[in-house]
Order: sequence, then C-alpha cells, then structure tokens
Amino acid sequence: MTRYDPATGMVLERNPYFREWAHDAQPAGYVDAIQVTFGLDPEGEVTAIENGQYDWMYEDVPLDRLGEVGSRYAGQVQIYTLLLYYYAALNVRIPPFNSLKARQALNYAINRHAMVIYHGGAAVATPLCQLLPQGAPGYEPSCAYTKGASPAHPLPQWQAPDLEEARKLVRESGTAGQKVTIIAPLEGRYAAMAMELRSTLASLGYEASVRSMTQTVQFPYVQNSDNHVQLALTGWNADYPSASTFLQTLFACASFRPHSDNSPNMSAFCNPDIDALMNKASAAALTSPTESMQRWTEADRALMAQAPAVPLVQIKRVSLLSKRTRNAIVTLNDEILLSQLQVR
Amino acid sequence: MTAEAPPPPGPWRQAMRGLARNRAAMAALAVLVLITLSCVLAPLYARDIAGTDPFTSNVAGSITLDGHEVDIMQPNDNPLHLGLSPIGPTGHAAYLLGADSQGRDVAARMLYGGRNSLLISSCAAVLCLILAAATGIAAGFFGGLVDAVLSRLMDIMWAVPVYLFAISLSIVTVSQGLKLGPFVVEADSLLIPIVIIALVYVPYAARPIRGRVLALRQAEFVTAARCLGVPRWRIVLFDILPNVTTTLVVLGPLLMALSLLAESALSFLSIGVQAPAASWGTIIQDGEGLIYTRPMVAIAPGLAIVLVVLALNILGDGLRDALDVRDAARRSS
Repeated sequence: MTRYDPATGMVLERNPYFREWAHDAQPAGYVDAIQVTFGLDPEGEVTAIENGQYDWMYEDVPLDRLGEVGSRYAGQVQIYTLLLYYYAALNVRIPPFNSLKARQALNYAINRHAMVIYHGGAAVATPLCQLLPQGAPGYEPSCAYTKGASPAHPLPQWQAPDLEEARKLVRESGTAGQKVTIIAPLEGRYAAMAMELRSTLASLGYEASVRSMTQTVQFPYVQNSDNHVQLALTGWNADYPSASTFLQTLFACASFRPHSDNSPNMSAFCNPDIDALMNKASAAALTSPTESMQRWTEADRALMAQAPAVPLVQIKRVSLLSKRTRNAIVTLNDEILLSQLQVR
Repeated sequence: MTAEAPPPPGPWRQAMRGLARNRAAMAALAVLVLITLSCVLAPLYARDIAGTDPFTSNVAGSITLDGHEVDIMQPNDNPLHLGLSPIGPTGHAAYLLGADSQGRDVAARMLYGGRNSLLISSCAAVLCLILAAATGIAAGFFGGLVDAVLSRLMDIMWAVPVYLFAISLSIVTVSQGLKLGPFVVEADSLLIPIVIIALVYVPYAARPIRGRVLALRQAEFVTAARCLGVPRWRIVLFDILPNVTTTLVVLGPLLMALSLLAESALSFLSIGVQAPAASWGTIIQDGEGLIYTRPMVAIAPGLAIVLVVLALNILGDGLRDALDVRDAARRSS
C-alpha cells in the first residue's frame, strides 16, 4: 500500500519482491496498481462505472438500477451466490416468542416470495427456510415451514405461506393480541422487510410495530439482552465457508452473552442437545468430512424445529464491472481477488 | 327625519373584505381548502374509489386493469431478469400514481400522508403561536428580569440551527418516547413532531410579538388602564392580547408553512412520522430508492409540499396586507 487516506482512498502497488511460490495459495497478480476511492454512494458508483471512470464497485447495484444495468450493461454484470442471508431473530426468552408455537407460527406465515421481491426478484434472491444457506457445508434443501410441510415432513423448497396453520398455532400459544416490536435497520431493504414482518404479525393477531435505527446502532443494540428485543431483523454473512459460522455462532449456548453488545446469538437460544450435536459436527470435520456434513444437516433441522429465528432470504451479489475488466473472481465470503482482475 | 348612516364595519370585517379582494390570496385559500378536503376524504378514496390498503405491503399482489391481471411489482425487461419495478401511474382509480417499493398505492398514501402533514403543521403552528404569545407578552409587558431571562432563553434557542435542534430532539424522543410524570407519549405518536416543531419555532414568533408588546406597553390606553388600577392580568388579557392578535394571525400561515417543511424534513430522515403511518416526507423517502425508475413516488409529495407552502405564503402575505392598518390607509388615500 503506497498511499492511504481514510477520507479519500488508497493506492495498492505491485510488490516488486513478490515471487509466486504456490499458485493456489497466492497467485501472482495481473494488475500493477489498484486505486481505491472512498465516499461514492452506490448510485454514484454505478454511474461512474457506466461512464468508464472506475472498474469495479464494492457495493451491490442498487435495486432501482438493476433493470438499467441488466438491459444496457448485461455483459458487464456478474452475479454470484454468497453465504449471506437475512433473518428475523426471535427472542426465545421473552413473550410472545418464548412460545415455540408462536415462533413456528411466524415461520409459517411469512411470505418469503415478498422477501425475494424486496431484493430484486428471483435472479437475485432465493427464499430461505433453513439456517444453513445454499453453498454452506451440510446444506440440504429443506423447508419445514411452508404450505403442506411440517418440521417432521419438510419439503425441499418453500411453496407459499400457510396462514391457516399459523393462526391455529397462535391460538394454541395463547399469545394473540400481544405487543411485538420489530427492531430493524433504517436502510432501504431492511425497512421494506420490517414492514412486511409487521403486516404478517398483524395478520396473526399481534399488535406489531417497527422501530428503526441506523444499522451501526441497531446491530449492537439487538445483541444486548438488556434491551429486551423481541424480534430483530438482521443479516449474517459467513466469516469463512463453514456451517459453524452460521449455526454455532448464531445459536450455540456459548454465543449468548447476557448484557453484552457482542452477543451474536440474538435469539438468546440455548439447547444443550443441539449444542452437543453441533460440537460433534465440528469435531468430525477433522476426521470425517462426510459425517460432519451429515451432522450439520441434522443440527440445521433440529434448530429449525425449535424455530429460534425466521430465515427469510438468501441473496446473490450483483456486481458491475467496467467494459475493460475481466477475470473478477469472488469467493463465497464476498471477497474479490483484486490482484486477479485483468484490465485492458 | 333623516336615515341614520350604517355604522362603519369593524376592523376585522374590513380586513376580511380586503382579503376577499385579494385574488392571489383567495386562490391560495381555495387551493388549501381543496387539498385539505381531499386529504380529509382519504379513507373514502382508499376504500371506495381505489380499493387499496395503503398501509399494508402488497408486493406479491396484483390488480385488474382493463380486464387484465397485472402484477404490482413488474419484472424488468432485461436478459438477466434483474430487478422488479413497482407499477407506474395507471390512469385508473387503483394505483393512480403507481405503487411504491412495498407495493402500496402512492395516491392513497399521498392523501393519508397529507392528513398527517397538514395536521402536524397546523397543530404545531397553533401550539407555537400560543407559546410564542405567552413568552412574547410576558417578556414585553413585564420587562426587567422576566424579559431578560425569556429573551436570553430565546436567544439561546435561536442560536441553534432550527433543523439541527429539531433533529436532536426528535432522535431522543422517537427512540424512547416521552415520559413527563404520569404522561407517557409513545414514540410513534404524532404529538412528538408537533411539540418539537412548535418548540423550535417559538423564538421566531416570540420576537416580533415581544416588540409589538413593548410598543403597546407605552400606549395611552394601557397607561390609562394602569392609572385606573386595572389589574395587570386584565390589561394583558383585554388590552394587550387583542392588539397582538393581528400579528398572530399574520404569523399563522407562515409558521404553518415552516412547520410543514420541518415535518417533511424530519419524516424524510425517519425521525418524524413513524411507519406504517405516512406523511409527505416519508413518501419522499420511500421514493428516494425509486428515483430512476418511478420518480413520481418522490415527485408527487414534493409537489404537494411546494403547492401548500406556496399557498400558505401567499395567504400569509394577503392577511398581512389586509390586517395592516397603515397599508389600508395608504391604499384608500
């Protein structure tokens, strides 16, 4: 790095002393220098790339520009699946979601098709019914909460909301009429998803409201048990491509740290049996990857049977490259290999 | 026997006649009445004419237009099938101005939003005038320490930029609600923006009122009342207040216009009217993300704000002309 200014950007230049020792581990770069500019908003980034001023953008193409980009710059678009999903964490320690039936009801009632629309349609997003996303080790398509399915008899794909079953479960839980506050980030897609959740909760007979705050405030706020958050709308991006980064980080007993802003288990969920299953899956990864994957699949299903969260949608990254850029390689963790970009 | 000449019309009647002769002010009044009436009838429009629920997300829904079923969210025409856009202006009763990103009828939300915007701005203006009148009259009439304290307080409030002040107050109250002893105001209550906007504009209105009262305090009829031993509260109520009423009436529309702009700004920043309720500011915010594909979502409430503010300013000017005695004398001479 030859220049860095947190306000404007940085410049990365080729290391003259670098020699490739293993191509798979660290291939030699193609570009001689990379100039990174900070401060443009996504709309500005799209315009700048369309005008040939820049080669790659960090953010997603904004929803409002997807149509334009898809029609006029289709050849410059890259779409890739990420280990990233959005979900609603249900606090299992306070009403109404301390009732399993209430949690299952919301899972049945939510319209995941609407969630897909909020993210730009089927080309960009997929309905998600489970806590392991597509692409994660141990992922086996399974949807326990959709029309015609149950935790004991899941379907491979989400079909439609089952409001009838959801209302029945709410009646049985005796939680109808209770107040539910959704804590959501202020930013665009979250706001729309939060309103959808509010409408769904209202249709189930809850008195639902949304409290929005900026994402940087919301994320630590919903993690702290002192704030008594009933329902937190959030997203989770894998730190590394493994099942544990989702299941253990978000739902293991050890991940719940009371009174802390750093408690990723936002559901405050703790089930020793499922914990033991996840520990076995983790341990088996070293000795028997196949067995490990099977156990992660079991853990995913066991967790969904307890419904500590409502998985909503898994999204794909839509990236726009300049005309002269080739060979954009992006990992499942949403990391672009900048050194491998080729520009003419 | 000679017929007795009719008594000359009172000052208020004269002012109203003057206002009625002002075509621009009357046109502005007509626009305001029309917009207010439309907004008041919002539930009727949404239920009976458009047949839509403007508060419920409807992205997966569809409507029938000219016998064809049309999705509210329409796929964009591109080879990658990227993105969906809400339906644009239909020219029909349903979704007349199109849908927003949550598939809600923009026209119906505009009318509901107008109810909140107009309600908040008018209530804030009235509350501000009451507070400003109390402050300005107390400072101007009692003078001395009361004047010094109130005037410095107004100076301090005036020194903070109005929007910054309003944003600071709103962030605190919108996140926590308001608890004043036994009174609890929920975070999503319209009372919060009303009180905040009223408060931040008090110095704006209190200053001219104080100036007017300072002049009135020296007037002969006030001195006479004092000499007669009339209690001070009676002088304030029956001699001072009626004479500052014209100032209050002139300030009313201008304050309402300022309140409307402040409310829209706060709601645009998500610290005014809270979802799912709407105001013109929240609808502009909804439209911000659709500015490339469905600009009408942001433009329509923006135009409504411009129209109402313009009408209020013209009406305010008209009222000032009509109530200004010197100006009236000039015109008649």
